[in-house]
Amino acid sequence: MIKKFVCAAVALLLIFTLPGCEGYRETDACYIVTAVAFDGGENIEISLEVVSTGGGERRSDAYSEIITGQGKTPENAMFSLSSKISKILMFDHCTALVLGESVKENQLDEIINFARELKEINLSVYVVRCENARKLLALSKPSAVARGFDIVGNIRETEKDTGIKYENRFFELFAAYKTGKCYKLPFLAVDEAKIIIEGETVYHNTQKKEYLSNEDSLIYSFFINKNSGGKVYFGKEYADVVNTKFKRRGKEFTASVKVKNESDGFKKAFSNKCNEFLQKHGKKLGLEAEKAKVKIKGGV
Amino acid sequence: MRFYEGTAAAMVLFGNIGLLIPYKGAKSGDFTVFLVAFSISVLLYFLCFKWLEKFKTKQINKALFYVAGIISVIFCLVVCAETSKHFLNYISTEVLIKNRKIYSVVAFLGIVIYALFRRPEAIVKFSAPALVFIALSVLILFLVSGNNFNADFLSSLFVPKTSESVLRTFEYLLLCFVSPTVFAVFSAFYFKKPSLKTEIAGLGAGAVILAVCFLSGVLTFSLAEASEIRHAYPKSVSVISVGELFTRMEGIACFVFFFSALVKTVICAFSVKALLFSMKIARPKETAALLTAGAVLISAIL
Repeated sequence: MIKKFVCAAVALLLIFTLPGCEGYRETDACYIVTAVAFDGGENIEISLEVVSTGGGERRSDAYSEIITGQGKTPENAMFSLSSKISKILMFDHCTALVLGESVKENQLDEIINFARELKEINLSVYVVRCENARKLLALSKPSAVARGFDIVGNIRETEKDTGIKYENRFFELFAAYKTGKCYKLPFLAVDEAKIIIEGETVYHNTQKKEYLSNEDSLIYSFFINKNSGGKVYFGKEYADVVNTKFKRRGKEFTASVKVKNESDGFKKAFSNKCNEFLQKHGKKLGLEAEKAKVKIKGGV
Repeated sequence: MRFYEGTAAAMVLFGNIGLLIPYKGAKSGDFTVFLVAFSISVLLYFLCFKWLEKFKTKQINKALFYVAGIISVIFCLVVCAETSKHFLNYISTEVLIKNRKIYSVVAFLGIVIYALFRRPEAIVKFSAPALVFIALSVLILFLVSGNNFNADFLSSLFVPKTSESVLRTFEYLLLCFVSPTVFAVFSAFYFKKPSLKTEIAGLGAGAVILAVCFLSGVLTFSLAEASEIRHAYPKSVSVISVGELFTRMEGIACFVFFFSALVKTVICAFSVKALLFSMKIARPKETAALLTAGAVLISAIL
């Protein structure tokens, strides 16, 4: 008898506790944050790209807008921003963290730690840099509802096409930052109202080491073995790179590269590009080699 | 029944420990230290097993019997409370962030109390499919996490510094590998002929699953960061994405720890009940179970 009573009581409890309806909010009572932008200077400025579904007649339309707050620290800036809005912020769909060039070194450290402490932000958000973070989100015309999704789409497409592994998700950045390793962040710009990847910046801790153009970024990914293969173009020369392995032996890099559908002059062009890269950027990026010997195995 | 004995031992080892590793303040060589601590715990388990054979048949001095009994009861209650506390903290801080903690406490403890009114065989048999689910989930999630792993983080895992490793081994032993001795208490009272070999094999299986969780957290975040962030393994699962369809799979990690915490908590509670009954402190079986559940509830809420 007692068992049946206990079972019934437990079942009743579970019915009310497991569905998790507590804390439920209508979508038009929330701001869904899709990107967080940080700009620096005297104060830190946080801009949130939020998607909202309007109430009443606009209930079925989703639209995005930018909300901004400023403060001495990221926490103050977030507090200033929160005090301006009447809806709840939901970070569950935040896909991008955009850092402006105006963010100083000490501010970058504060921002990274702030983002890590903000539990609502998923650790796999993509981190990028640009000239002015708020303007990037405000000026560009999104192909999706929100620019945050555009940024991620852009990065994923580039990774697929070129094989470059940006490793710019927040947890990857934070692990490199905490272990004193270099990390790289794609640099974005707006071209005809579209967001494009203009290049990449390599950092060590909060210090900028080097800025790389898209072509240099591709070559760098080969040197550090962070390229999974893809289409490569050097001017008129081209190939589908299947895989690469670069090893440093003393003052020289030896590289073994498997390609297919390559043009006649691809090997020479690839070798020249590698050596030019070493001359121009090798020292600053800690590659410490004078020459790259490239063996290309074609027709794979 | 031998098979279930092994699976239950594995579940008791895995329990809440998967949420805690790598432990705070990780140093170089932590993985090796972790394995050494587990090896020492096997010896400890063997000693407890042999001791309990004498305890159960009252082949020891009466005063020692009661003192050891009370200490065992307190130990089992502490393990029970710690297991449910760690699991409920994980739920309230990582899974149900916006909901009030009391709902998850009530739901979890309701299920524990229900299990306490069933026969002990039920929870032991439940441990088998639960362990299969946990092992498969952990293995599959480890394999699909490959993209997120950074091979550079492996180098810090295996070579400990001698001066720090002794203290660190002791820390891991105390915080992770002493609690499975509760299963020795449970098996002494609830199995007709408990098999030490089977139980140690089960502990080994649990340790393998724990090791995979350890590696998953470290290879994703680095050793230093994995030991600082809370619940490294579930967080490493949350950043997995397979294509664009399978993302945010921390729901699977939630069920992994729900099953393991449930089995461990219930087994601890049954151990307390058996100890109280053998010392003739509590006579009605239901009272012992309710006392245990009450202690767990209060500890968990506090």
